[in-house]
Amino acid sequence: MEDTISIKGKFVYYILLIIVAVAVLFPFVWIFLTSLKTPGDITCYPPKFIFNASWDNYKSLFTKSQAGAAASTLNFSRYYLNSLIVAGFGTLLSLIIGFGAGYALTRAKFRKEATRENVAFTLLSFWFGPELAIILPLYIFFNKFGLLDNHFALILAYQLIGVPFAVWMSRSFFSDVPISVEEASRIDGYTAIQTFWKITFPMVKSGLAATAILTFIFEWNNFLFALVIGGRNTMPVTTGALGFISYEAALWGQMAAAIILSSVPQLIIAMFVQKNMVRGLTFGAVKG
Amino acid sequence: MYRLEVKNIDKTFGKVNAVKNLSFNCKEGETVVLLGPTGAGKTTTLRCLAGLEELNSGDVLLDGKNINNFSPDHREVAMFFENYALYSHMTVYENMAYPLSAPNRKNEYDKKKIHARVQEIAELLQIDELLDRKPNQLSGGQKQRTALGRTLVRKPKVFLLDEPIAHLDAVLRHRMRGEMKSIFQKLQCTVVYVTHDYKEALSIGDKILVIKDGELIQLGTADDIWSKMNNIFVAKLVGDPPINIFSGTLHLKESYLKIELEEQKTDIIFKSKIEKLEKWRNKKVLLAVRPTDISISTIQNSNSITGTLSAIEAMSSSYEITVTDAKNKMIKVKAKKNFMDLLNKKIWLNINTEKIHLFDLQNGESIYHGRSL
Repeated sequence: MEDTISIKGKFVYYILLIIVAVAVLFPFVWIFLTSLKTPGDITCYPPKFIFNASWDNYKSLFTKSQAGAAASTLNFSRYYLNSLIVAGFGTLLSLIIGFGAGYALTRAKFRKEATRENVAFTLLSFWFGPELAIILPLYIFFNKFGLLDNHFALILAYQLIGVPFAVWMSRSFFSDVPISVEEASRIDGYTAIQTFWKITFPMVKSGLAATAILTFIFEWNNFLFALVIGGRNTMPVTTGALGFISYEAALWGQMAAAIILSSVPQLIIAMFVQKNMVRGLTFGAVKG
Repeated sequence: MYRLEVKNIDKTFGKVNAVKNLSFNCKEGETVVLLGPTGAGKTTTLRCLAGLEELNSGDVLLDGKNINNFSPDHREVAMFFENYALYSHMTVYENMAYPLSAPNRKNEYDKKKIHARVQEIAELLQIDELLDRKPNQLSGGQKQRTALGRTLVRKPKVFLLDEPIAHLDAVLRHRMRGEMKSIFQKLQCTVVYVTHDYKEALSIGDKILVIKDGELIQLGTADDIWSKMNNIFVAKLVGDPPINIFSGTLHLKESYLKIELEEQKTDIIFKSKIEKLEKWRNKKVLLAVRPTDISISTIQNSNSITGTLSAIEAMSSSYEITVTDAKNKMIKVKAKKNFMDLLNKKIWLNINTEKIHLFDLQNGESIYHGRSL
């Protein structure tokens, strides 16, 4: 009797899982199918699920002679490169600042213990505020300094997203490392910096890797900062994809292909996240 | 010259004075035990010696050299942490080799020497079979040995051990207590050892410091701490079951002394030099008697107090007997015989006056120890 219940339970469980998976994956599959269709197949009704698939949309992203007036100004590989530069260096900077601050907020001695939490919470609160609330001052600021349409400016703006996240995440990983482990290493004859690299870092590296990956995804996905502060030369894929819609035509096929390509780095990275998200490295360090 | 000299050290955390004007010395090869209840400042003292805490005042000298301003990695001390503080990403071997491969010991140890030393200590601690394991694959006792191994593998001037066997189970703890002493002797260690367990302190320490609220209460040998305690606090801290304490008034007669007990109708009468106790004539005092120095009887003798035998607990080689007096105060007695037939009956307790201790009621200071002590 019990067995039948558990089989029934499993059945319901899998049905629910399938529903969730379909809901999550459907847009992605739909976009992928669209990217393989010809313009005629894309707009026909009822939608076609069986059609002559072709890689033309992908090819046209990287060839100069594109169909349609709108496309003549598009330079997808440039957008891709911009995204890599801005999100890549942006993440690097976020991690350098964020991990340093995260470590300091865990270990440094504060005159008032409350200061520690106040600083950490202030940083985190950057995440609560809507980007729209700060985008105008930010625009004016970068305009004054002549930094609009500049890679460096975008990297700086991305720190508003990356740094608080990196601080908050890394802090929780660092605080999992018992302070006595670091103290033991100091007494064993290592300096504070040697201790960090030999003891603390290996214990938190998987956590930091996960943080790095998530930071990259957030910065890669950013749209608003890129739209307002970026320009023709710095346009990343997120805003670049908008160019496929113009007065004359909407190039749905190429747009879909662009979206698929721009999510490739995230997909690859997401696979690493899963592996690295495994925590519990510090278990066993302290008596259990 | 002393190996370690601690001179008037003071450490405060905010408004809390964790260590107050503490001084002690430690000769080479000597084991000094810091004994005290939780929160007495024992661990803080150890951390001050290791350089993990900055002193507010006072000096720490190692072989006559002031090391106040030395960072932990430059002090020649090794420390065992109460929570073991093992490096969880390293194997037992790597944990033990870690201190030897420190940059400032590069000239001292090459790979071969490190390997030999780790093997030697691992065999001594019987963990040579576990060298490839990670800390999370070890039992509590094995973790403790690994942490001890990591401490002992070095040859520092002083070993600082913070409750090294406190978290082991009773059997293992008992065994390690004996082993520790022989390991220290074998390796000729100079040790500062922190514990809250008086049995550990008495069996391991050449010299014992009893600490309370960051202050030194008594410094002495195991014998001093057990039988010549200078304060009622020390008397209460040492002994299991704890020492029995009665309050009363001290009367000095011509040829004897009398303590008029508050809770009992009988008086305790004994002989001693009266001049020494003149100061406490007709004053309130505390009478302390160890459970081993009381005997049970069914008839009243001189110096016997009364109560009802309310519980008997069988211990390994003796019985722990609880007697309740008229005011429901519990008196503990350690006896060789099982007094089951007297359970819940009125009995008499004879106090061995040769082994009693008297303390001042006001400040708890010792005023008298029994004649035979």
